[in-house]
Amino acid sequence: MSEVLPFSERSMVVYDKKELRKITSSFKAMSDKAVEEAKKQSAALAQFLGERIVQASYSAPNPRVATRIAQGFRVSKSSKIGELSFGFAGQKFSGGATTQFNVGTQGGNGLLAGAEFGSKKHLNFPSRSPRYGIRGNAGYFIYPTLRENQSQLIEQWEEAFSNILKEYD
Amino acid sequence: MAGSRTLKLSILADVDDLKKKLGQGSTEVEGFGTKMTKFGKVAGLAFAAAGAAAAVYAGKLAVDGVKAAIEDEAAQTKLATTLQNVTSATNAQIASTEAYILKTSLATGVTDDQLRPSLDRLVRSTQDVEEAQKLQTLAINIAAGTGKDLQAVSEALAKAHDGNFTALKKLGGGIDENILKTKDFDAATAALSKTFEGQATKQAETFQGKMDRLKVAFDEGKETVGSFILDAITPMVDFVVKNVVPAIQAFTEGLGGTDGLKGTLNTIIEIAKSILIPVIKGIQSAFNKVKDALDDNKDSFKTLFDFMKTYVAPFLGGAMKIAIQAIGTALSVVINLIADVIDGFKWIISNGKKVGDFLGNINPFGGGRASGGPVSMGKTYLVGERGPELFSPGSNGTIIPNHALKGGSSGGATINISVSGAIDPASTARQIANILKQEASTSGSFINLGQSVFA
Repeated sequence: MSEVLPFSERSMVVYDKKELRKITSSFKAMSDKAVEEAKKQSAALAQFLGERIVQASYSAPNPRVATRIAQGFRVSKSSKIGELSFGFAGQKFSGGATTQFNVGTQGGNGLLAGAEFGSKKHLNFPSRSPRYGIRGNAGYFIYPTLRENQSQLIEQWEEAFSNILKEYD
Repeated sequence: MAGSRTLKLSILADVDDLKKKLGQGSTEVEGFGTKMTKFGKVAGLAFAAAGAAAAVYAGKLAVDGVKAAIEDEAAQTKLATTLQNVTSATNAQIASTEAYILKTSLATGVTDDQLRPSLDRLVRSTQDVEEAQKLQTLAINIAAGTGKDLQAVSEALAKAHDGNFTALKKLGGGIDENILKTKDFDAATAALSKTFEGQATKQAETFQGKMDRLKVAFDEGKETVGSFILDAITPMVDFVVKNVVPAIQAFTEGLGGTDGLKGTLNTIIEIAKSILIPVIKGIQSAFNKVKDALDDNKDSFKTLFDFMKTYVAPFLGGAMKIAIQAIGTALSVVINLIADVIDGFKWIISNGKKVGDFLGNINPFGGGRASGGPVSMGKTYLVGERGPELFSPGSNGTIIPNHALKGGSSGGATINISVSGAIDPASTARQIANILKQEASTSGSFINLGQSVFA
């Protein structure tokens, strides 16, 4: 895995090619039982991350909206890489806005992007979060929490995977 | 994230990026051999799925079609009975009503299952087919305009025709209170016609309306396919029960019969021929019947064909093709199954000698001796005066066949009959019978001969 940087400089963890090949090979070699177990373990880790994001949302610049968005997270039960989603049309605020990602797009006014990254145009959102590397803004409660917890989660995920492969294959 | 309204995260990394890179990793991991294996698996699965899907679809189409055809026939009979009882309709008028239902169904997207009970109810009140059809047109417009069930609207109109306007008022058609108070049915229908005019036509031209009409056309097709299947399958099933099953029984019994293996195998060739040819002829005949039916009823089918051509073909050309191919596949499976059985018979026939040799080697089998012949010590032969028996002689010998015994001196008896002065067949027979009776009375074995003839 790429070198772990100090928290202040931490970016998303990115696997290199060699590691990706290993993961792919592992996925292919897994039996059905192992896949089931991997899905369970990954979902548990994603659930943990989701709960941490909910906690972080309480201290976001606009906590009412952020908490609502964070509390609506859903964990994928079929993913082996621990996926979770935020922002749904079904989660509506009193004015009709939803927790979806974009603002003013077809299907309603989504608040997620504004709540997470801020806005200069829409004053109901906090100001833009600071720039982060070359990829855009740092975010207020979702991405910072992910970055903060990712190293630990990945370690646990890799360990769980390693155990599953040993136990079931 | 542009364009996505849900934010997806993975504990490993940004989901889109990770999945993309996992895909790249997957490509690099797979060598040629892996890819071939994978292709084999995928292709195998695809073929299996396609085959299964085709079979299931063909089966479903047939089952649904047959079911629909049966239900349709029952509904048609019910309406026809009402028309006959209430309006004394002739067969031609009933046929004309069915044609009207098909046409209305295809034009509006309202199924014949809804139209028949509606018309049935209206005919009972109006006691006139033409008036009932006019009211049904109004009912279809009201149903399209209000979103209410056609049966409920028809019921309300029928009740209003009988003088009860309560249900009609509840429909919410905006009829003037004075009309309702005076119970003027003509004025009420005129008002409703004005309010709901063209609703059904406009509804039919919407996307949903077109889809409904398409469904009606497809259901009609299914009913037709259902009757095709019935026509095609019934003679085949009949043939299998009457011919194939007894043939297989004869084959099984024949193996142990007095004719021996060789004789049985020879008859199997004929049986095999008699199975295959009539089955093919049966299918051909069934499809010819369908073709003739279509030719004979061109006018009846014209409305359906026109609709199919205009609306169904452009949309469902591919699907119909697949369905027809699937039916072809299903039938070819049946034919192949029978062909396999015949191939099996042919194999036995061509390998009959080898089978015999094989049996001879494992169980010194000398063959059948129905025609007599020498027997050797240590071998087993098929003999038997009352059914097949196995004979294993302790020393060499000879089997004398049954026909040789009859012609020999030990058991045969010759009776000479001289008929004199007979002028007709009856007197000739009487003389022969008397002579045989006399012979029997002396030898003791022809005592009853001729009794039934002269009784």
